[in-house]
Amino acid sequence: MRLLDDRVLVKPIIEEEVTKGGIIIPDSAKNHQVGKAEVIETGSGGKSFGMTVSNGDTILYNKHAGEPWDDNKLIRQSDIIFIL
Amino acid sequence: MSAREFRQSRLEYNLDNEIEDIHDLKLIQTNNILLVERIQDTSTYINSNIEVVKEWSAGEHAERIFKVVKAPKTVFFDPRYPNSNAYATDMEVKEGDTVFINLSESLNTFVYTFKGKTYHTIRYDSIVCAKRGDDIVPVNGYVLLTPIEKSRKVLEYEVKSVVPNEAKVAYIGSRNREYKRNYRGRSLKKVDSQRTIVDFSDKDLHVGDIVVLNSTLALTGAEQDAAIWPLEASAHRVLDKPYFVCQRPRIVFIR
Repeated sequence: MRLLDDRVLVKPIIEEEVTKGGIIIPDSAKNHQVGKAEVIETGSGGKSFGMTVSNGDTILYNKHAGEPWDDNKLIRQSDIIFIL
Repeated sequence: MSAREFRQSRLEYNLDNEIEDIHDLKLIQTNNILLVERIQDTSTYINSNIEVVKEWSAGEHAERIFKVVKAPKTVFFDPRYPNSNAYATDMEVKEGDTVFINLSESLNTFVYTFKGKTYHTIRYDSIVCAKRGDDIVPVNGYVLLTPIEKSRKVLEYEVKSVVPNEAKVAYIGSRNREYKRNYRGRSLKKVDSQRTIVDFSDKDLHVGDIVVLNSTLALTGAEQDAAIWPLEASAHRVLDKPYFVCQRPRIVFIR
């Protein structure tokens, strides 16, 4: 698969949070707009800019952006907020 | 933990386990996103004026002042892409600056917590001006205006009112090279000594100029996020006086 433009294929990292009292809060119960993911594949960049992220990077991204692709997600570099 | 704190904790993304230091976060240079720290507490009134609250509005109490923690080196402008800045301009904000942002961004920022502090990510084009020491630096081509008051006599009383579509230029920054949004048809005019209207470049705009704004965008009717809007909500004002904000193409002519 060859991604075009600034598209990025990411694998969301879903972490459960355990409170001090031992209650497990699954990711689905959180209203976070920010998700954590690992970059699997990147495109070659836009017409006027290159790619900053590379394969294997852990990122925080806009969780509501992009579209699901099997268990992964197809987003654009503009949806990425930080590289961790 | 109160109900409000619990609700907030579910919205805020906790970075405690992700990084050692807040500066470890790397920004995507072409996304025009800045990391800022929350410094304004709008749960308390800091303005000494007593106001009658007629109705509560989120806009009046939104946090719109932040401290810049990390900023990209340049501003990316290419209208073909969603990450483009709305204005072709330079990065005029530095780490440590206090920035004032527009209302819609302040209500929609992503929120993070790290070691007890709260951080937000904001877009560069949402920044109106930066405060560096005592200096106020408008960015993104914005102009800061102060309203003009005129007084008239009603019976034996003197009544002051704001002139609806005139204002005095208080601060100007560098002009934008290009706009993502189309402002065509809103050419800037200047009235010369013979009262004829001549074209002028917004390079001619100076602090202290009295400018006439488009009458449909009158100051008195200005609401948050209209084309001309107050920089700060009156209840949480930190600057010395109320300022209005507009883009240069909103100015019709200099009086």
